[in-house]
Amino acid sequence: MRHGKRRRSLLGQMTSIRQAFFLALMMLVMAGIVIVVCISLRYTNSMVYENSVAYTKQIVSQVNDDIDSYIQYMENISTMVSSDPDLQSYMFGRDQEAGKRLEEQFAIALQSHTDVRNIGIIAPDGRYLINDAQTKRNLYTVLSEQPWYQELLEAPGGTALSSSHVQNLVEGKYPWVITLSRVIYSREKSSEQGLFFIDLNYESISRLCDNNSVGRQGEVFILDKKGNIVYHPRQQMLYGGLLTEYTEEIMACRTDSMRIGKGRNEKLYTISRSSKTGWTVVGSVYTAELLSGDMQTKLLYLLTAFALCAAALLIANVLARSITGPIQRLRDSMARIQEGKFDRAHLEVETRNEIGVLTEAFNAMTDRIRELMEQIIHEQKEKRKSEMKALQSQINPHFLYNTLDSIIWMAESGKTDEVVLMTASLARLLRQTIGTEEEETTIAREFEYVKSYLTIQKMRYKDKLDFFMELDPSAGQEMIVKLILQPIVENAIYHGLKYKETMGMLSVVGYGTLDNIIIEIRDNGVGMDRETLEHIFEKHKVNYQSNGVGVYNVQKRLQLYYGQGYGLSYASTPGEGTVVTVKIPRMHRRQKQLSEAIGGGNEKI
Amino acid sequence: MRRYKIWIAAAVMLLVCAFFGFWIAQGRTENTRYTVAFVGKSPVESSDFWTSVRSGMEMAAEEYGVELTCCYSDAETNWEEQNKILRDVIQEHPNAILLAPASYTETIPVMEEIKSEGIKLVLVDSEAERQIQDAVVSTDNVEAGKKLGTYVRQLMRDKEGSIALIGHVRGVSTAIDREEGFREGLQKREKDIVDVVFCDSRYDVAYEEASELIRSHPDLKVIAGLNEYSTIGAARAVRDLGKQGQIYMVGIDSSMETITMLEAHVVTGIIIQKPFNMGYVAMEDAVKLIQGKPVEKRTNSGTKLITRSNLNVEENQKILFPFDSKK
Repeated sequence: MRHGKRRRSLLGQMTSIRQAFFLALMMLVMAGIVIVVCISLRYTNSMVYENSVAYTKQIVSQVNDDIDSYIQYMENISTMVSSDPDLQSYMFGRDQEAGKRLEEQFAIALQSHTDVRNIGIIAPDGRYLINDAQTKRNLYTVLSEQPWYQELLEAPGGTALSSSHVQNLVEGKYPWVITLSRVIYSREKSSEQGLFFIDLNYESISRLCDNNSVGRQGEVFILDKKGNIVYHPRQQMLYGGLLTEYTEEIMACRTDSMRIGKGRNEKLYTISRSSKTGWTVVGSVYTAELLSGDMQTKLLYLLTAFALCAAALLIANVLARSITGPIQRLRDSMARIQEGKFDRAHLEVETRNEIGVLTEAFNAMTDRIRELMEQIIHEQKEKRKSEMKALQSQINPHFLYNTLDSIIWMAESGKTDEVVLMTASLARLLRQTIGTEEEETTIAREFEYVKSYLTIQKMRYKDKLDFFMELDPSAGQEMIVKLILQPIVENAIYHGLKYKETMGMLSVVGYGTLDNIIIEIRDNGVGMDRETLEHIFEKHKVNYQSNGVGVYNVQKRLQLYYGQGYGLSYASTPGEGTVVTVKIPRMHRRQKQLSEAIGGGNEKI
Repeated sequence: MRRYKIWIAAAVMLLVCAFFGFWIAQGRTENTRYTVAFVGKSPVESSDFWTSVRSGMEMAAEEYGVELTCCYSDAETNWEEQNKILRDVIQEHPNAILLAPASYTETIPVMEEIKSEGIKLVLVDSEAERQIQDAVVSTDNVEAGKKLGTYVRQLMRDKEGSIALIGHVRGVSTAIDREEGFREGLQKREKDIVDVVFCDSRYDVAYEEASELIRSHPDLKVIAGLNEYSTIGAARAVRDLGKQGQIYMVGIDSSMETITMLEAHVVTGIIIQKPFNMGYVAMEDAVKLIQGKPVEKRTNSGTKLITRSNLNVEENQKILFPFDSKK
């Protein structure tokens, strides 16, 4: 038992194939979706990060290239202006005319490049030209103290690019700039040297960095050789101490990307170093932000998975129904056949698959069963017919002989009227017996028959028998198996009244109840004792005085015809008389019984 | 019945999907821009200090996606006009107001109106007599005054002479606190204060007052200006009267002109505030208040002493000279 239970599969425990099928399909689809989603999520998680790193790297190296070419471009301008002969002649030859022309050149340079904050020269003797003739030098600024100037003096090629610093060369102005400077050597006297510089504001650099920001909160900033900030989109915040970047860690980092910080403040730095400027371009982005995009993707995946599950639910349902539907119909049909309802057993064959074949075979089978059943019913009917015939009572030859003898006797004594009456009664009696092949007759005609018989008997037993007959008209038209009452009446006369000393009375009363017809045959004869009554329906109790049909035959016929529960019942008191009750169903009742017995649709048969 | 169940389950799942979809779409489009108004007490453009404050606010506004509007009264003393402006601003019903109150007492009714309208109120730079605001971001003015006083005491260590004080607006919290701190910093030399005058935050008044002080007090050794206007006005007078080197001109707040005069040795030393930080933190506080997050009730944005010798130290330059990537 336990062994069997263990071997039963989960799906086998479902009560219907459809349920099991539906569940299996759902589990399969769900498992598939879950696996795909899990893989996708895992994959996107790392992919988003990898992609962002790759993307940021690309941008940062692009910014680095842009800045290199920007600085290169500015150096070219610087070279162009500084190689101008006017610059030489103004700086070393003190040519005022050349100074005018140089001023024009500066004006052009300033006009065409809004990102140039200052452009200027300082001659070895302290003369200067910055931007234009009106701009005054800040007299309190000592050039040799300026870090950018010190850098220039140390620079090997005579050119230098400073970090961010405050340019205080011009009176009253203290802008943050990046200075491109170069030493100008005199062509005549190489010991004499002046200074040319261009101060760049952050217009171009900020554009290069800000336009290429990585992510919504990402930033691109620039560090110089020493790790000081050259440019940062939020430089003032860095200066004010409101913001810090991990500049030391960045400078120490040997790879081109790093993650630093904790939790929500974790940042991804992507680093690109320029050999030209010596600067480091850094892309900074919060990893949380990278993953926020990832979160949306994840949510989208989950959403899709959910929608797919819903769709799978519907499709699984439809599929399960389409496959198990025919099986269920087959099952329902079988249940109907079990109940004996063959009329709706035939199924439409919808498909050509196994179930179709099964349905076809099932149809063939039910058809065959139905045929066989019809055959059996027919045979049964035939059999019963012949049996009934065999059981049908015949006119007792004794009775016929006695009656004819009585007629002769009455004719001899000239009782013409009585002869006529008895002969007519006998004729009716015989007519009824030989009448037709019909099994049934109306109760009225059966009463007529009994009346004919009793009339004859009354004439024979003049002083010993009288009778009374009454039939409810509504019961008269109901049908009854032929020749039922006569043997009973005969029995009553021969066993009940014949031995009675006084006048015997026999009454036959027929009436209908709702479903049945009741006919009572009552005599006031000698009655029966209990033992006789108990054995009244036994076959061997064939009365030698009757035609041998007896109570057994009548009862057998009635029950064959109407079923158990109908037929005769005896009640008797010794010395007082006997009551025989015949109970048969009414016509409508019988039809219903018939249909119930054979099956729903077999009324036609 | 079972068939219904399956349809109901599917419908529920689809509904949940729709809900999530809606939620995601919402999350993407959700871009609530807060509106914050800054109401100053003097024209922003005319003052490097307020320009820096505003650029700090703008930086934070950009970072937090805030729509910032600025308005201000034409003069620091004109609290009536500022109240009028404030009432107009209340009509606009911004999420928060950043306010530099023009008066220590007279601004209070309007501040109460702001709070009763459910608008968050952050005070910047100055304060009012009653603590109605949600937060205040300012320089610790007592501390600033004390630093200045201490510096003056050190300058006067082995010298005799009197000290004059030029305040900006009489009765304004910053003036009161700075003077108090200044006196505290001077310690024993507090007795040398010969006069305290006010310039109503006007260069010309400060210039006149300083000139008058120099004339009337021949032994005057120190002039201390308590804000940008008083310091610059007085410094101009010192320069024009040729008293540089004889009078220690000190003050609070910096501007490019103060720096120039510091370089020219007209001004000896100044206490600078951190206006950018002030503006930034004030805006940050406003956003946090709108979002219902906790903030510091009082933030000290810090001060620093700048003298001729530490002027060119990079750390000081970073605070002194505003960084502007657009110019």
